[in-house]
Amino acid sequence: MSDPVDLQALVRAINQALILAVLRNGPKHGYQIAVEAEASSEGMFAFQHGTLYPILHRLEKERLISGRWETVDGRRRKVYSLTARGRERLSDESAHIRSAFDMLTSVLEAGE
Amino acid sequence: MSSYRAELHEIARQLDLPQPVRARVLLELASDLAGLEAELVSTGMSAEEAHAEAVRTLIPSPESLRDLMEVHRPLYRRLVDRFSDPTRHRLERAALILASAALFAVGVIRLGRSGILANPAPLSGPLLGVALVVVVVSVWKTFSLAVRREHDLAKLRSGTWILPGAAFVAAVLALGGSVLDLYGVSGSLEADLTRQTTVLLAWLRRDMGLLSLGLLTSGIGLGMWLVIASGIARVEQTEAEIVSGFEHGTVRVQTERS
Repeated sequence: MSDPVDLQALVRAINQALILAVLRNGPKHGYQIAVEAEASSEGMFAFQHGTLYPILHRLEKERLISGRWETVDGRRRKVYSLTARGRERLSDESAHIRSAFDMLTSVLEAGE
Repeated sequence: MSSYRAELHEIARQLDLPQPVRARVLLELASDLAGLEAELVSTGMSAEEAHAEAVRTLIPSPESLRDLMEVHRPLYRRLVDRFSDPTRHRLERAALILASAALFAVGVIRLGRSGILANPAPLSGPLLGVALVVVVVSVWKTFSLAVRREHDLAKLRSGTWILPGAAFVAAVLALGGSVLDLYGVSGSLEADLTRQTTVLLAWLRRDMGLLSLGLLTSGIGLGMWLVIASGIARVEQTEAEIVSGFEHGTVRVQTERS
């Protein structure tokens, strides 16, 4: 039998995996992560009302991503990159999320 | 680029985080707002729409701010958040009194062992009182800056003047006590010159102790004041640079790699 899924934890895992997946393509600023996550999911997943920052900062604290400041046109911006640990976590989270959704799909389709 | 001063000021008002984390959060937000707006304008969006979209996407809602503060909440606040504010204040006050009393007791015991307190010079009592004040204020301010990581400038500044004031008073008391003692010694010698060695040795021992305690209290008072004042100045500078960044619509604060 599978472990029960905590829905709030699943939503948090999806958000984190989304950010890690966007950063897999290279370092990005916070707003670029928000824009790319929305664009690559065709608008299905959107970080609005600053929901991005707590997730980014938590990931940085857990050293799954690393942040550094760079100066562009005299303006300082923070750039995030995926760490090796983050890459591993992305792989684990992807498997976890996929299995949760497979289970959900099988439940939804059971009666059809 | 349009200004996000009003939005950022509102966030700054609500963001209860210690420095320099608070500054870094505000800087990141300010630079992302500007970056997103510029990117949206470059795709053909009007400046007004781009501004509104940047605010909608990036300005944290109260819930996001709470989450953000939770991520960065210092260890001390995590430990004491379970208590109500009045209880926490009472506990903090008790802990500070205990820490100050312990430090002061250690100092007094060491002085007692060196024999200084057995035959104290004039003004030793008031000087010990000033030393106690220096210990209490130093412990209190160090706790606010380094443990509680207070960023409220008014609270941080209050009472710091006591340290240089106490350092000055300690120096005056030590010198004054020594001078007073000199008058006493000269009186004793005038009365009975045959006891000069005993009188002079006792005087040297008393005043060495008094001057040492005075110098130590002054040094610690001034040293702690310098450390605390530079800590407060760093907080003030960061706040001023953030505000200046808001005023000019750009943020150019030197922030260390986080």
